[in-house]
Amino acid sequence: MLRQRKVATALAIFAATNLCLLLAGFLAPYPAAEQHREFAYAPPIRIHFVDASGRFHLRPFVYSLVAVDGDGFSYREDPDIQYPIHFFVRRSAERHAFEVTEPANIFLFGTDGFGRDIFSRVLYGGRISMAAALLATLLSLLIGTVFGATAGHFGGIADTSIMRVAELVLALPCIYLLLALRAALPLHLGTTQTFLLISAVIGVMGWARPARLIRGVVLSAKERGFVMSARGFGASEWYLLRRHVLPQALGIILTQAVILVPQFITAEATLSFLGLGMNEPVPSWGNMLSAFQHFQVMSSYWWMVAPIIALVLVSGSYFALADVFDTERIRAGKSYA
Amino acid sequence: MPVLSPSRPLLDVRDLRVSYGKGAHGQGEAAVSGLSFDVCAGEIVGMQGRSGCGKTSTALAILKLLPAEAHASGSVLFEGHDLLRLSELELRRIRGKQISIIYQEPTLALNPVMRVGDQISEVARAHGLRNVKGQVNAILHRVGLEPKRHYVTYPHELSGGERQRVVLSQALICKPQLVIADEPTASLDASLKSEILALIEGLRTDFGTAFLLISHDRCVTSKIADRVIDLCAQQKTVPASALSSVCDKSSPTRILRREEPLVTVRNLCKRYRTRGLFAFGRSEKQALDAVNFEIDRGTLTGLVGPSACGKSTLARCLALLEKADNGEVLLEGRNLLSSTPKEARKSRPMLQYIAQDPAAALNPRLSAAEAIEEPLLIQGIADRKQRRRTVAELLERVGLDPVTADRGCHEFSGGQKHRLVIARALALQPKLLILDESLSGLDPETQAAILGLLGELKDRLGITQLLISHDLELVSSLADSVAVMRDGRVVEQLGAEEIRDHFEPRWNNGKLEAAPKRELVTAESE
Amino acid sequence: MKAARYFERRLVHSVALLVTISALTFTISQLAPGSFLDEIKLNPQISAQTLAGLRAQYGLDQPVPVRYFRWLKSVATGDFGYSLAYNMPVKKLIWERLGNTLLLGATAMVLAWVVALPCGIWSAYKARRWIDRILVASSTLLLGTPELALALLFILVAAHFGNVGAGFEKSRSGGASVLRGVRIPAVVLALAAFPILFRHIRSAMGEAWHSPFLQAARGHGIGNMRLLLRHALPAAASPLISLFGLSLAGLVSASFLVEVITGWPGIGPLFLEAIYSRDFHVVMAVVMLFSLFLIIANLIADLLLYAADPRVRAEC
Repeated sequence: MLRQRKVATALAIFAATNLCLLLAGFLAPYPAAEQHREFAYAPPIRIHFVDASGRFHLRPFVYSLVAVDGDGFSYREDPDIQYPIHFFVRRSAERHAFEVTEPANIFLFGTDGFGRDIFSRVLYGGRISMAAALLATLLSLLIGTVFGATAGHFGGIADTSIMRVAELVLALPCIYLLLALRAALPLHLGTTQTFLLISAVIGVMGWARPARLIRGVVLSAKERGFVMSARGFGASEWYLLRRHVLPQALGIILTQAVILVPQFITAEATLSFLGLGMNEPVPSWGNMLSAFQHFQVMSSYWWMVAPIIALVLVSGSYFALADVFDTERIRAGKSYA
Repeated sequence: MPVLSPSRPLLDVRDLRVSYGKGAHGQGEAAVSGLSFDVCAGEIVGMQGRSGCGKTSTALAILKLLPAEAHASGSVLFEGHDLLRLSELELRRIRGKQISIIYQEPTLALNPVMRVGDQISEVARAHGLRNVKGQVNAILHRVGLEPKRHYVTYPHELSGGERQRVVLSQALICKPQLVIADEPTASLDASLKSEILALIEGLRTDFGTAFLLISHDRCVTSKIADRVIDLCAQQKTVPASALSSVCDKSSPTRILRREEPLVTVRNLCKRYRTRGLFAFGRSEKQALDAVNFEIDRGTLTGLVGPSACGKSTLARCLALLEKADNGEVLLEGRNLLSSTPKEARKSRPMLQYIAQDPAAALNPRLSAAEAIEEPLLIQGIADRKQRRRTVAELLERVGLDPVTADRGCHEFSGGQKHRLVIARALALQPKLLILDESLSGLDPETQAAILGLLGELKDRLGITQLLISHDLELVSSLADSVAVMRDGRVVEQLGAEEIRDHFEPRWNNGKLEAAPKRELVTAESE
Repeated sequence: MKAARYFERRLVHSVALLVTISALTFTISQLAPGSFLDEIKLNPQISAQTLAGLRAQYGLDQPVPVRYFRWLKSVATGDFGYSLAYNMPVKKLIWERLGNTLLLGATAMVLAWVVALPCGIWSAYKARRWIDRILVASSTLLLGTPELALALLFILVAAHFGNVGAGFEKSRSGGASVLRGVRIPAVVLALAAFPILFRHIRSAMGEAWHSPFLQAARGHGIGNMRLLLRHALPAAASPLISLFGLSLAGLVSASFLVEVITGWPGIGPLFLEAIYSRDFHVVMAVVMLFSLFLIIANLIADLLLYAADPRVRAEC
């Protein structure tokens, strides 16, 4: 019972987070680059159900922000006009989940130094980070499977050399290697190029572990009793691959994918955090956090940690899913490792 | 036979019930249901039964060493206490000190990173013995090991027999009143078996320790036990003498047919090269040295020899699983070794190879039906209905219920998996069935059943078989002719009667070898 | 002697690895578009002649293989070249920072192991009870938290309590102020290292605890504590030694971010600066250095394994 609940929760969180990111365009009230200079460093908007006179409204509303004179960025609410929140608004051929009419704003997570809505940026940035991670994962798995299968199947020199290289890659500190590789490539490129470049760099770094695992599957399949028996029935190599090796390999590939994606999201975030990944004005969880290199920012404008929370949530949901996969595989006895 | 004191028994088990599984009051599977027996001081009591009968469960239950999901009820009286009702702390004082237990596999029972002497002294220390080192050396000497040399060894440096002696030392160092020995000789070969049994008897005489000897092998229990309890036959107690007749083997006679042999092997050679580091340390081993050998149609031929004599290599070369260096393998006149890979693939189905471990030969993801019909699929034999029919037939032929065809492979027991593998091997109607040590490691009932199956296959269906084993007695009970291998050569190939007349099992370094009777040397091992 | 052959093999392997890494790093750095001198070129005040002179001075006008061997030769003698950005020998630059990174790494490692070992042992012993569940859950949480997030969150919390000031002044009195300064980065790094250690220790101990030889020892009446520490722990030791070797790479990796975020003056920030200013001598030196360190560390781990596990000794 407990196990089923755990599985259900993991799947639910996983699905929810990914759905949010997928539907960024729908859920985000503001475009990622839209600035509201007059509301820089605004705290998260408070949503009210009860107005100043104590009356309850079914539809939640917000008050507009008014800048307070003085040093720093502080705001207060103007209780005179209520601006109700509208849901499922259609605006110029796009549907939005919720929004408010001007001049009020619905900054759910507050704004950054340029007055950009953090909530929207978290969603859009997440989409980009996720896309980069998925691309990198695909690359890693592709390279890893090809190398691993080759090493396992042909053995001999191919096997030793591929495995030595894999050992090398695994033996070195990954961040230093990643950065060195990134640094060797042009620092300032266009947005799409940067995106593809960092996806490629991250992906190329991650092939070693999948390769080792796939090699293990292929090798053990070669020596398994039932593969030998099948060969004894006159089975062709292709049949053996299809019937006995592939199903097990797919299981490993899937589990590896679920582990790699969060690692790659983090890698992309780290690169962007250090200014070597996605650059302004394209949002990425990493570059949204680069403001934190000066920690005074953190204590004054605490809401800017939103990307961290998002990162932890997404990362955690993937790991939980990977755990679930693992347990299921062992339980079903289907893993003949 | 020592005089037994007719007074109160040392251990008195009454209505012991053990069950596994969830739920209170034994809703799970019952392993032991209502067993009652007793052991008197200084007695050797044998406990007998098929695998799965509850022997190990009984042994563990006595000292409350059952796993968490097991429930035991009833009473186990020892020195006036009911062991089942004692606390863990109190039991700890009894375990190892007054009642010891020896587990089945000595290799598994020893800590791989601790020296053997230390492991024995741990037991002594736990029970507060003095002069631990001296006592350990004494017990090592008593069980037949050399204290100076063996104290500092690690378990993996010892042979199977030596490990068993170490485990005995652990059990006996505190001079307990009762030792429960669970299959103490199961993993040993025949000469070691008798040595260990003799040792146990000697220990009983010297220390007055009682033994509860658990085994599935009737011969073992009947040899030294005063009394034998048969678990499966409703916990009846049978005097040992009545069992000895079971150990005799019947000797069937077979007629050899001298026609064109099905398989002829001529001058088969194979060499193994092991790779060393940087081209030094490379060694070669001549696994097969000009082997000449024949298998007649419709017979069961045995292939015996000591370990590492090349039996398995020969089998694998015959089955085309390995490539021999040179020589010929003629199947019905055609040389298999000179055929192209495509031809080889076509002729593969005619020679089916069954390896030792059936569990490894079955893909756990498949159902029994899927596993059995795989050869049919590979060879492209037509439609579903026909395949299904064939699968049902094959299952019946090997003595399994066709209804179970859709169960997953992992759900079958060890003996049933054996039958599944044989059924699958028969799917393509092979001309030759090669069984490589397939019968080792099975308990006698299953062994007998599979042997019966093989006999049936030979008599009713006329399938030629090659049975490879290190156990001459086993093979000669069923084989029409036996080939003996040593050091990569077939030294003799004789008919079954000739085998029994001219050869006798000889013990050499604890391994069973067939040697000509003329050299009737009864060499003792080690 | 068997041991000698075992290590001869490992040594040769390690040297080959090192050479390959050096060649790789060198190649990558040479392929990189834009060098430090190109950046200087943008400065209109520097004439072409000066540039050419600088180029010749640094030997940048030689063909690649020549440069590689010259570089290799100097590396072998401990000379890693000159940092073009800081204008001092790379060796001196790195040496200053190396001590700090080692201090941080060692402190974090010790901290992580000191906490993970007892937790892992206890967790395996009390498997599936509430203490085990809590520990496993928190380790999973930590595992799923990327170092970036961890470091930032920690700093946030620390800043809230006014405890920041991770950098330290290299005062003569050393000692206490250094320890105070290393507190936060070390704790963050230890938190990052903890979950994997804990999991492996727990699983290794769990395996040893449920192994047949331990059940047999219990059957001989040996007490639980003794079983845990004298029988199970040594058996679990060999996978843990391998774990130690492997965990070092992760530690080095994690320490980079921690140093950068907390401002700890180790090799991390130096490396970052070198990347921004395209100072490749520093970049290559750091990569080589860490590779060497990790290779040696793994070699030592192998040595320890050989000494600790009699089965490994038998296999050789």
